[in-house]
Amino acid sequence: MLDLPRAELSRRCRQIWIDHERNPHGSLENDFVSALGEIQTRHGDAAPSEDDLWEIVRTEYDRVAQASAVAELLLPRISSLLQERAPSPIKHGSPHTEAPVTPSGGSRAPISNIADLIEGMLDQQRDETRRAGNSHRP
Amino acid sequence: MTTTAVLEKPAAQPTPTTAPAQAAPRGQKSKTMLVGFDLGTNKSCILAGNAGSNDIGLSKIIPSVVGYVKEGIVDGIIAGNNSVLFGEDALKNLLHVDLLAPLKEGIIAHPDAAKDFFRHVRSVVDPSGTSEIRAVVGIPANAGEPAREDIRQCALGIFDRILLIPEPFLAALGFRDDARLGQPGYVDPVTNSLFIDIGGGTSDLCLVQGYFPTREDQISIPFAGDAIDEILHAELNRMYPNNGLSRLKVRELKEQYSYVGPVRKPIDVRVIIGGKAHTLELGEALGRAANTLIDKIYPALTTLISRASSDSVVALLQNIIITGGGSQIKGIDTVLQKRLTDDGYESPKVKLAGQDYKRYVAVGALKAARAARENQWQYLLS
Repeated sequence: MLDLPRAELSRRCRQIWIDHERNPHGSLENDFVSALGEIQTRHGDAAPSEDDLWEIVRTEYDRVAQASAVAELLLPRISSLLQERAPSPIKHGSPHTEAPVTPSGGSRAPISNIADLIEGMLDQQRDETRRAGNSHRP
Repeated sequence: MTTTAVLEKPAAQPTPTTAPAQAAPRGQKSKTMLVGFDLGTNKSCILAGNAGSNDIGLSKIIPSVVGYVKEGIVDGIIAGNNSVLFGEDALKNLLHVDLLAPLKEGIIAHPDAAKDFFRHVRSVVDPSGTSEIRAVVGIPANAGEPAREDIRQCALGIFDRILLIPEPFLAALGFRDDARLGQPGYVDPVTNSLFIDIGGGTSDLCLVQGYFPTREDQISIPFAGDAIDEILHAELNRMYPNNGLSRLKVRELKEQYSYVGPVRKPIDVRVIIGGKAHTLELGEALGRAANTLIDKIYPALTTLISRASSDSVVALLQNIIITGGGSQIKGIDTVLQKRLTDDGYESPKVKLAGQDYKRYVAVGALKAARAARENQWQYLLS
């Protein structure tokens, strides 16, 4: 059977650690004790003891620390993937070639991207040659 | 005191006695070699490898000079009794050659000497003369069609296929660390950067934002290492009349001691003049000469920043990279970054390309050579 008071205290302690991660301050012990006090008021004898509190505090500390480490590793990767999959930025006065080449997502830019860039250069040169030819016509 | 003699054209038209360096008839090509060719005003860098391989079989930096051996030089004075020398060989035999720099301000100024130089490059890349040579050649940003055509003419009959690509773009390509693409935190310089390539003849600035740069994304300033040499030489002649220092010596002093920013004094340098040792204080002259470069580059830098789209400019400001010989001027990154900061730009970060600065254009050119599609290579037609 689910121990609701314990689960509630775990959740409260976890949140205290997360808040501390974002905005460190010195009064953590008071926060944990206050949390336990509220739960004991609400649940009476079914509430966890003070010994249970510190065990829960340690457990939730480990959880939050591990989650932070994983988030730190994953977030740059996720944002890089999102960036790569996002549409290419529109530049005012864009070149008259097709849409700019975007690097491939999540891996080395394939050599074909360089070939696409070269194709963009050659397109520009062909356009310039055409315009120069047109401007010389009577 | 020896000074470098530069003729408008060579005194004679001797046939180079190095290995023949003409393109072999098409049917007789044994293999294809790809070349990344940074054709610099003062120094050229060549990287080469077989097509289909990632190995670099040749990596060489050659001073961009051709030395035509003077008439009457005794046999045996010049190694191999060659009539034309190139690069370091030409410089080592300064007393016995008429030295010619084929390029000026990044473009070909002496076509005959340039063609000899190209032949020499080919002979270095392919001594057998039997390979098909495909070369990507770096050109100054916004080089006009006449300048491009001059290079094609020089390459005619020497390289089999070529591609001409602006140098700052090649520098970005060369600077890109392919092994780190996709890693968190690594910004591909080809996707959003501003490259400042300070060479001997030109300083080229280029916005590189994931597409091939247009004319508006590139600015080429005909003021770079050679211009600093000229100013420094004039300053030294003013401060120390009849010092007799050659332009080559002045360049050496610049490469060793140049800096930008507030004047640094004293910079005492020992030189030999007329056989005797003298100590010259060069701090002010060096600072004045190199700071002129900053005054030329900075407006071009801010112009290109203003052309970047508003959604890319903040990241762009973090990715301003200086390469080329000018990247070795002490303090150049700090001074440019400070000027941008003082002018209110948001957290600019100016970086130096690092010790490999001499090779980035050639590295990028070789990458482009390996990636180019068959139909992108240009034939050279007479």
